[in-house]
Amino acid sequence: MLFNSYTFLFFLLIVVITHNVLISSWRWQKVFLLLASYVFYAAWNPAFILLIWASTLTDWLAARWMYRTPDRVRKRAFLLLSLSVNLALLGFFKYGEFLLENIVQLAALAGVEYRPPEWNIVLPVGISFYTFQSLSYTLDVYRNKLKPDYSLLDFALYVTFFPQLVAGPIVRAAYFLPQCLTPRRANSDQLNWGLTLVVVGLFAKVVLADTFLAPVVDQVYAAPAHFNSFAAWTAALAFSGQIFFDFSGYSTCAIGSALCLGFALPDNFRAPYAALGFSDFWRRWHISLSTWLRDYLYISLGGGRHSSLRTQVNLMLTMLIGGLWHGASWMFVLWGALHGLYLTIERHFRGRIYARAEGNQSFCAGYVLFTFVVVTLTWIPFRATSVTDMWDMLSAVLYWQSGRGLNANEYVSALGIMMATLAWQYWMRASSLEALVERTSWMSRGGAVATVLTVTALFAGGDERAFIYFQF
Amino acid sequence: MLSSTSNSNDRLPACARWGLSWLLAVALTVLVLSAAEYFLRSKGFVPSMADSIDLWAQQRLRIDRAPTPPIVALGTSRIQMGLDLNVLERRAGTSAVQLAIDGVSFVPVLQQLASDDTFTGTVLVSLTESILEQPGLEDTARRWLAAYAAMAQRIEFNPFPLWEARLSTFVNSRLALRTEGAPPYVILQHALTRSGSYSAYLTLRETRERLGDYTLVPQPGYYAWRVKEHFGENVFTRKVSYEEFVQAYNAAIEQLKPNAVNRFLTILDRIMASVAAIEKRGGRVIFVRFPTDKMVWEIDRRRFPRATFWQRLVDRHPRTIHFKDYPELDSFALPDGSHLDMRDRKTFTAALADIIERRFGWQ
Repeated sequence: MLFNSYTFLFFLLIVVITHNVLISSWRWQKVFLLLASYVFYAAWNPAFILLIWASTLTDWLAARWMYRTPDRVRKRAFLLLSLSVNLALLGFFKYGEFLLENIVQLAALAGVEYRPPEWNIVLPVGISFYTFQSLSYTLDVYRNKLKPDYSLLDFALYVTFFPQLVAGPIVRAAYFLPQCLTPRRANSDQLNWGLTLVVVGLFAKVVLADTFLAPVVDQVYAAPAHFNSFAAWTAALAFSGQIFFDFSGYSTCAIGSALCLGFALPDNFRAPYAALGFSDFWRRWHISLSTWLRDYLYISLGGGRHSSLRTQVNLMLTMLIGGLWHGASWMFVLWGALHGLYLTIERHFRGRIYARAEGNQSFCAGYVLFTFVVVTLTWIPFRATSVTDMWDMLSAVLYWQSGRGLNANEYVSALGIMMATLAWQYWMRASSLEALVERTSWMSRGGAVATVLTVTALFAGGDERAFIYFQF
Repeated sequence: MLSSTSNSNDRLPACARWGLSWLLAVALTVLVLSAAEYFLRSKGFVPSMADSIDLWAQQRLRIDRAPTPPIVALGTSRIQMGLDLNVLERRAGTSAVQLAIDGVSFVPVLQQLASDDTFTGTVLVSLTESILEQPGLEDTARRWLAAYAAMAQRIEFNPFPLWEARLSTFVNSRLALRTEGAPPYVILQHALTRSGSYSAYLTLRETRERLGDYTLVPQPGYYAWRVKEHFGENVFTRKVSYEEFVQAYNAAIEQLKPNAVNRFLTILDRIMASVAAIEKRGGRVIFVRFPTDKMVWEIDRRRFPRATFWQRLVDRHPRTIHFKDYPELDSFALPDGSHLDMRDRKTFTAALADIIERRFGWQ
C-alpha cells in the first residue's frame, strides 16, 4: 500500500478514527494497530508476514533469554541467534541472487562453467528496515542499554508499526517501546500537525520528485551517452532532488501518520544538502540509518578508539556495508566506498574546516556547495543501472559533450527546484519546519496547507511510481 | 522542501487555531478544485476514463466472478461504441462485459477464453476482416491478457490491488479533472492553452463502453479522415476540397482488388478451434459483422468480398449475423462511415438482441 494511493488514504482514515475515537482500552488499541499494520503489509504480499513474525519472535525471545542469563557466553549465544536468524533472512532474500551471480562470474574466471537454476525469489518489501530495527533491540539488550520487559504485543507493534514498516525511519526500541507503556491518542495539535506532515510529504513525493524531477532523470539516465553535458548535469542535480524528495517525502508521511495516532517517530532528514562537509552530511541524511550504522557497526568495530589507520578502516567498512544495505549491487558498494573515502579524508581536516567556517560566511557557503556537488556526483553510481551508464554519465558531466538536450521546461523546472531547494535548506540548516510554522499566523498556515494540498491534488495521478527506498 | 520534520510531541509547533487553519485549507482546496472542474466542464471536457490495461483487466476479472455465465463482447471500436451493455443485460438476463480493444485483433482474447475451463458464457464477436488481415495486431491483446493474468494472480490472496484500481476508477470516471486518467494539471494546461471549446467526442465509461458524440466533430472533414485512414493510403499530398476528395477516393476505391484469402483462412482455423473449445463445454460464440457505410463499406466490400471472406465463416459456423442481411441493423447513418453515434446505441443493441433472441435464443 503506497502512501500516494487512494487505498492508503482510506486505510489511514479508518485507522485514525478507530484508534483515536472508537476503542477505549489501550491494550485493544495496540492490538488494533498491530492488526492494521499486518493488513498494511499484506497489501504487498501476505506470505511475507511470516518473515516479520519470525524476526519478531526470535528477537523478543532472544532478548529475554539474554537478559535472564548471567552467563556471558550464553548471552553471546543468544545474540548470535538473533543476528543469524535476521541476517540469514536478509541475506537469503536480498543478497542470495547477487551472491550466486558473483559465484558464477568467479567460476567463469577460473574456467568453470556453472549454471545455477534461475533465482525466482521476490524481495520482501521493507526487509532491510525492519531487520535493522528489530536487531537494534537485541543489541541494546546485549549491551545492557535496555531492559527487555516489554510484552510481545508491544514488541510486535514496535517492529510492525505501519507508518515506518517498509521504508523507515529505522526507529530504535528505546525510542518507541516506552511509548507503548502509556495510552496514546492523538490530541488536536498532533492530529493537525500530523496531517500537515502527511500532506507535505505527499507534495514532496508526487509533485517535486515524481512530476518534475523523475522524468528528467529517467530520460537522461536511460541513454547518458546521447545527451549533452548541460543535460547530464541537470539530470545529475535532478536525481539529487528526486531521491531527497522521494525519501524525505516518505519519512515525512510516516512521521505524520504516526503522529495522527499519537506516536512520535525520529527525524530522518535535516537539510542534508546544506551540510558542511561529509560527516555533517551523514548527520543530516537518512539519520536513522547513519546513526544505526554508527552505534551498532562502527562503534562495535572499535570506532575511533584505536589507531588512526584502524579508525579509517572502520569508517570505510561501515560505509561499504552501508552502501551494500541499499541493495545487492557493486554500484551501491562503490557509492558507499566513495562516501567512506570522503569521510576518511575529511577526518584530517574537519577541525580546520569547522573553525574557518565559524566566522566566514562565504567559506561556509562555498564548502556547503562543494559538499553538495560532490554528493551529487556520487549519486551517479547509485542511480546508474550499469557500469557503462555510470561512465557515460560521468564522462558527460566531467568532460564537455555535445548531444541531445532537454526541453526548456525541463531545464527550468529541474534547475529551478534544485536552486530553490539549496537556498531553502541553507536558510533552514540550523532551524526546523516547526520553528517556521510557529512564526506564522493561522491564516498563512491555512493558505500554505491549501496551496500544498491543491497543487498535490492537481499533480497526482499520472504515472504512479513506488517510493525509491522500497527496493532497499 | 523540507528541512526537518517533527519527531516528538514536545517539538510540536506551538500554534493556536490549528483547527481554523485546516478548515481554511480544506475550504480553499475544495473551492479551487471545484472551480477547476467547473471551468473544464464549461470548456466541453467531460469525465471519461482512460481505456487502460488495468481497466480492461478489471473487466476481464468480472467474468471470473460472474454468478451466471456472462455475455462477453469482443472485437474493436465498432462493438465498443455500438453496444449498450444495459440493454443487452436486460434482454439476456445476465451480465455483459466489454472486452473489445480499439484497433486490435480479438483472436488472443477468444483463445484465452477458450482455454479458461470455467468460462461457459456467450461470446459476441465483432469480426472485422481488415483487423484480422493486419499482422502485429495480436500483440497488444496479448499484453493486455498478461496484465489480466498478473492482476488475477496478485489478487488471489490480496484484494488491495483491485481495491486501488476500483477506487481510482471510481474517482476518474466522475471528474473532468481526471479525463482520460491524466493528471489534472495536464488537462488544465490543455484547456488553458487551446482556444475555443474542447470537443471530446469520445467518452469511456467504467464498463469500457465507448460513447461517440459525432455532433462534436467537424464534418465532413472527420468522415474524410476516416475514409483516408481506412483506405490506408494518401491519394493527395495537398489540401483539397471535399468534393475533390470524394471524387478522387471513389475513383481509387473502384480500382481496389480483393485481398488474398489465405491469411484469413489460417486465422479462421485458429478462431474455429477456440469456438469449438468454448461450445464444447456449453458456451456459445456469435459472430456479428457490425455496420459500416458509404465509402468505408465500399472499401471493405471490394477488399474483402463477402463471398470470399464472410461466407467462409458462415460455412463453418451456424451463429453469424451480417448487418446487410438485416435492414434493422443497416438503417443507421454512421457519421464517420464506421461507428455508431451514441444516440443510436440503444436502438441498435435492441435490434441486435431481437435477432439473437429470434435466431438463437438466450442461453
